[in-house]
Amino acid sequence: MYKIGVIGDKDSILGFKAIGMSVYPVEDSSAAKATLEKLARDKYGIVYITEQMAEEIGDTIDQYKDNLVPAIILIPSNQGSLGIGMRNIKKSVERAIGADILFKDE
Amino acid sequence: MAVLNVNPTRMEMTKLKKRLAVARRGHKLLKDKRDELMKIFLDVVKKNKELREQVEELLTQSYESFLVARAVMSSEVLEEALMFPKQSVELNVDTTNLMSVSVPKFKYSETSVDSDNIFPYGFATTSSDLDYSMQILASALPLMLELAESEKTAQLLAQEIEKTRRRVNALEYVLIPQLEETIKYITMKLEENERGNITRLMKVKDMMLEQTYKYRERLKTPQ
Amino acid sequence: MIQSMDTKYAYAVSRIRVIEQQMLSGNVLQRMIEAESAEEAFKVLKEVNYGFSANDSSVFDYERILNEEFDKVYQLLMEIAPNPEAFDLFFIKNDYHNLKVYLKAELSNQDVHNQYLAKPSLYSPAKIGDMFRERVFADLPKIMVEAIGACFEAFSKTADPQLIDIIMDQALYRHMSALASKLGNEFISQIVTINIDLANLKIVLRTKLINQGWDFLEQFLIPGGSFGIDFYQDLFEYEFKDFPKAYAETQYSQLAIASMESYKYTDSLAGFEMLCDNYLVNLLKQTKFAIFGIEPLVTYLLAKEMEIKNVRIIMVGKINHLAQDVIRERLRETYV
Repeated sequence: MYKIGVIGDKDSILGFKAIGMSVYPVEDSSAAKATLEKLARDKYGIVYITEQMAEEIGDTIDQYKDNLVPAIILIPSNQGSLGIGMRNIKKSVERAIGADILFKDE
Repeated sequence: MAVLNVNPTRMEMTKLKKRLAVARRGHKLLKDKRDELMKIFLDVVKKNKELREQVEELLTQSYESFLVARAVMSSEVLEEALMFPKQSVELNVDTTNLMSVSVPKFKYSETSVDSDNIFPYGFATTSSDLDYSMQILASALPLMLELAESEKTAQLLAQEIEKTRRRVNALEYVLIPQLEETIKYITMKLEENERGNITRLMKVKDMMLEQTYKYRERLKTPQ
Repeated sequence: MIQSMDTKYAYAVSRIRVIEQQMLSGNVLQRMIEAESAEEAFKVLKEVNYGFSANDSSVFDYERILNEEFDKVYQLLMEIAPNPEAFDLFFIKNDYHNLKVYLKAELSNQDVHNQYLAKPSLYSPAKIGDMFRERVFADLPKIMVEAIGACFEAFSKTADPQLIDIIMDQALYRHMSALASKLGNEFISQIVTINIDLANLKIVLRTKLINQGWDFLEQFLIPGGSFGIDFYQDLFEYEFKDFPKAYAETQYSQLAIASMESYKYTDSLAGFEMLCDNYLVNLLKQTKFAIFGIEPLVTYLLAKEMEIKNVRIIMVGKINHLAQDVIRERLRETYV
């Protein structure tokens, strides 16, 4: 049985507790990094992390990219979407196809 | 294109021709695999993009109400309201095989008393905006899990496609041309040897005839 | 009435009249809203010496500073009130809050974190923690003990954590009513009644919004207050737009009209909740010129509570980069 974790600023993520996720409020990205590494060692199948916290720890997140779990999924914080999650999909497309064919109209 | 460092012998050439055939067959198989992976990947990534749009939209809505509730409630009251959820999510991770790529299948079961009443708190001391925020969040939950599955699958497929494409390219642009060149080289070398042999044979034949009939002697002696 | 005229309060009231001059005016709140950043807004709190340790704190400590500020109010009242226990009924909500925390922690195997607990309370959280460990609650008032028992029982039957809050909220208001009637002060009883009436209205509105039935609502409603169960049973059948009709002959008629108007345009009860707070502030303003009695002290306590709420709205808004207008819209009326 795996757990689902959420990392981000408290005002954004506290509500996820009510739908059964484990929330880990952090105030800066270095705390986010430490928490993410801890959850990755623990039995977390999915870790959602706010873009604001993920922005500066892309290298850490990329380490888990080719692992089956945890799936590290970026979500917007209450400051709105920074578009990093979408850009990562774009990067996947470029990685696979060598060109961006999915987002070309945007 | 560099030629492989091999002895230009007939035996070596037979070996190389076999390797070339294997490489060509492998190239075709890998190319088929890459194309098939690409097809699956495109479907997954399209879904991925749609789910991300939906999830981001829902979360934004939920955050908005949550913030209003958060602003009018003390943090202790908010923490207490959410500290013991009614609902818990149990996640099972299975793997399935997509063209020999292991991708996760997230299965989850929610344990909830009543799907309409997901609120783990009382209404007298909390703000009503919290309800709306929780309702949207609860409706986002299945989509969030689907998003995680499809985004992870897309990442793993992308990795496999990249690997496969590199191998296809290595075969197409390095190994196969190299083998072809080497075979050509050996063929030329063998032909050259052949020509050399013929020349040598003719020379030997000349010498043998000379020895037997002494043409040169005869030419010197006037008749 | 006799107690309100009690000259014992003369000294306390004169102290309060001086101290309430220092309450944050609308201008100060505006300055916070217009500050360029959350840090700048927090600086305003430092200037006015909010809490005890604002000067050594970062903007993220604002919740602690707000708690400290409220603690100041508590300490002041305990110091100047001739009968400090008269204020128990205003602090007992923190005890009920802490009981909820301990109950939920116990029933879900969690630790009680300090950040969950509310101060000031009649019984220290540490003491309540001990009671839970030993399962002996005899030192608590009867209403609390019964409520704790009811929570354990309800949870063992349903495993539903929501019931803990429901039972505790009802016990809290019953307890407040009991303490108020013991005091026999009309103003305080009036405040408790208004609190119950408005809490019940909020519960009815929310129950309708989440599409639950009367059975659900019935277990939530808080006894006491101005209206009986029949009133709410009828009210529950009304559509929102007809709610003002139900309240037409009551002191809440204007509140009901304005609230439903606000709901119509915003699809949210945030406006209603603000109007409820403003209703109370306006009641408090009626005591502005009293020279004797407990009323000015109660007013100061509740007005400070509202002020702290306003500061929280601004700080949460600034930290999360809400637009100034959005923050302003949420702000409660100020007493001063």
